[in-house]
Amino acid sequence: MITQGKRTKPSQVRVDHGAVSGLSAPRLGLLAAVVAVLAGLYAGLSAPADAVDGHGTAAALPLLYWIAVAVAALATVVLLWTAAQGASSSDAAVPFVWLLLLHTAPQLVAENAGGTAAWNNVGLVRLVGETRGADAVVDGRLAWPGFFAALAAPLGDLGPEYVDLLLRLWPSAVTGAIAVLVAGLGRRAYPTHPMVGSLSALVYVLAAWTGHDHFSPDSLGLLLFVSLIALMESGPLRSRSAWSASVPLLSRFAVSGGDRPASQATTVFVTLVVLGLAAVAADPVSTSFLLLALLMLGLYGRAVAWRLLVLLGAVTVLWALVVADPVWSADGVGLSGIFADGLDKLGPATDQSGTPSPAHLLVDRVRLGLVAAALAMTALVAVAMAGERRRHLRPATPLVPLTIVCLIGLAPTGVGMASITEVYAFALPFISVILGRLLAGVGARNLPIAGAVLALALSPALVLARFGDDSFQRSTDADRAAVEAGYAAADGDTLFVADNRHLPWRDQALAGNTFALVPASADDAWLTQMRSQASAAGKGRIVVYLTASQQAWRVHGLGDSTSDLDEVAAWLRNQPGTELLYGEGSSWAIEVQP
Amino acid sequence: MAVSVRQLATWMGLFGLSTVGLLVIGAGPIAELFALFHLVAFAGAPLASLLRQDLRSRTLVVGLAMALSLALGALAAQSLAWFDLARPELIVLVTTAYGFVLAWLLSSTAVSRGRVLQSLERGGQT
Repeated sequence: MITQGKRTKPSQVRVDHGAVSGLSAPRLGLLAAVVAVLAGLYAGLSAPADAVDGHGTAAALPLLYWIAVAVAALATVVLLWTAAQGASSSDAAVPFVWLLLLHTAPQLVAENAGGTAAWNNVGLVRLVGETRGADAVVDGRLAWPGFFAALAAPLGDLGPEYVDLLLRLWPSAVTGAIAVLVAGLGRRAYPTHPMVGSLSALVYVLAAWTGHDHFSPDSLGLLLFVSLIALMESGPLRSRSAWSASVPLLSRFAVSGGDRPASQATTVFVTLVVLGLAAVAADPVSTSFLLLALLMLGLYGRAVAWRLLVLLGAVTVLWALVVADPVWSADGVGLSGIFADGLDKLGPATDQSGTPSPAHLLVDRVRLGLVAAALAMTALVAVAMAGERRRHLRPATPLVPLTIVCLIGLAPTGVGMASITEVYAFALPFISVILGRLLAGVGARNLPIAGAVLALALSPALVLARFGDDSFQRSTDADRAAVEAGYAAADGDTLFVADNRHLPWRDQALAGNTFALVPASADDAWLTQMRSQASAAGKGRIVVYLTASQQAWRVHGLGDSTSDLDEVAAWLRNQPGTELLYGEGSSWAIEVQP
Repeated sequence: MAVSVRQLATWMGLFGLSTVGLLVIGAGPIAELFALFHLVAFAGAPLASLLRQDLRSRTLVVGLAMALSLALGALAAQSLAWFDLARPELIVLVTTAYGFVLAWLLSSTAVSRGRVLQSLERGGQT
């Protein structure tokens, strides 16, 4: 906007909207936002859980939910418009409206919140609570125990209703906390554009489909990773600090700027160390991304990054050699095995030998489409930024290099869906800020429409990508009851057997029992294979789980629509030496004599 | 009403000790919900509030407080697990101690610096 020959920022212009009968534009926007959120949450609560089918939770959301999404788009237009005119600062409400609609409301639909992985983690928490953290030092995904032991404190004896509530709220809390940190990153990276912060948070909320927010050390690691980078880039340590100046070699890498008082630098450094150490203790994948990011920030000129890199790198190596290796060796894996498993986890998805169903393929394609769109837009913005800043040695913020360094993880591990998910989750906070800046640049007149169109266009894609394949990722009440029935008589002498890993079952397996995956089939060869595994493990009891979530994985993950685990269960029950422990719907727990 | 870092740390410490007390006497879900709030949001609040002037954003301080609470809880549990002491009461107690001591120590330098600056502004001697 140009006033008397001088360019004025839109935020500096106050517009008298002449409130008509007390309902001004900002109030109208907030009212629409509240209505949208309430309708969306109600739609989630009222949707029938059994409506979840091959397209996951996305298929179960009723029409009211999508009407709420449309109302939220209207609220977005009004709130962004008034904020762009400088009439209010209510743009900060926009990302939280979409957070509640897109991340919280669908969580209410599922019969059990959080998915199978989250329930496995609840089982581990329960086990840590029972054993006081002594036994469950490592879970099936290489996580380290601090996270579980800490949460075992409040969760150990909580009733299932509280745990269920926690699992439903956890993803929104983690996504919301990261969105807040992304907003902070955006505000400090582009201080001359006041709306970049909330727009960055909006982009993050609209694009965070990866599910790295479920109840797990992964989500804690991601939160700590973003916290640490956001704190480093939020001002206090962007310039050379008193203690970095004390090491001449390191201070060479520092950018020029005003020094901070030593005490404040110490406070920030201590905070960074706390966050970094907890990230190391929480999740090895987060640790590797964190070390990579610190290396890049050090090269970029953040002197504190070198100190953190040396400190956290040394702790990581010591931890792996002194603490983790003996534990993992006792578990029969060892550090080399864990490392090999880690590479396998980051590599192309190999647990899918069949042809997925069309529904599952659609979900994967939508996910890839979201990744491709985000990366293409980021590349365009990065090129534009490089052009604008070509007279300087480096751009004003390290967001583009941070994005690139996170994407480097793709190079050695291929382009499987698992590695794309991992890499995208860690790069997305920085991508969001870059895209938030792009969105802020469309101008005050077009911004509300652009924001609403973006939200409307991405909402169905996010819901499908985030909640689309959970018919096998989520377990039903009957699945959990079947698992509990098998655990009830487990005394450390049991081999638990399942067709595939899609059920909440692992906690008791760590308490002296063991578990195995044996593809189910209604023939004697299957029985023989189970009995030989029990004999090899020295177990005197076999419990077989056949559940609806495993059947869903067969149909949608493997594309095997011919086999039926109910028929297998019926055949198994008729064999001699078997006893039915639980059977309801398509969920079975059957004991087999070795 | 402005709340100083040390006041917030004191309230956090009292809340943590109350939670430990409730856990010890077996107060059931109330104690566990207290512990959940403490470990997820409150234990790191004093440390995060130390940085509010630098962060210049209340929401950013809240996000950092959550991350720090979880981080302090995980570190407390980890250090206790090494000694086979990872009991719920001790985890809450050590998390509280970490948060309280860090905030108290780090705020002390800020307080003394503030006194020095005030003294200089008044033209007095330090």
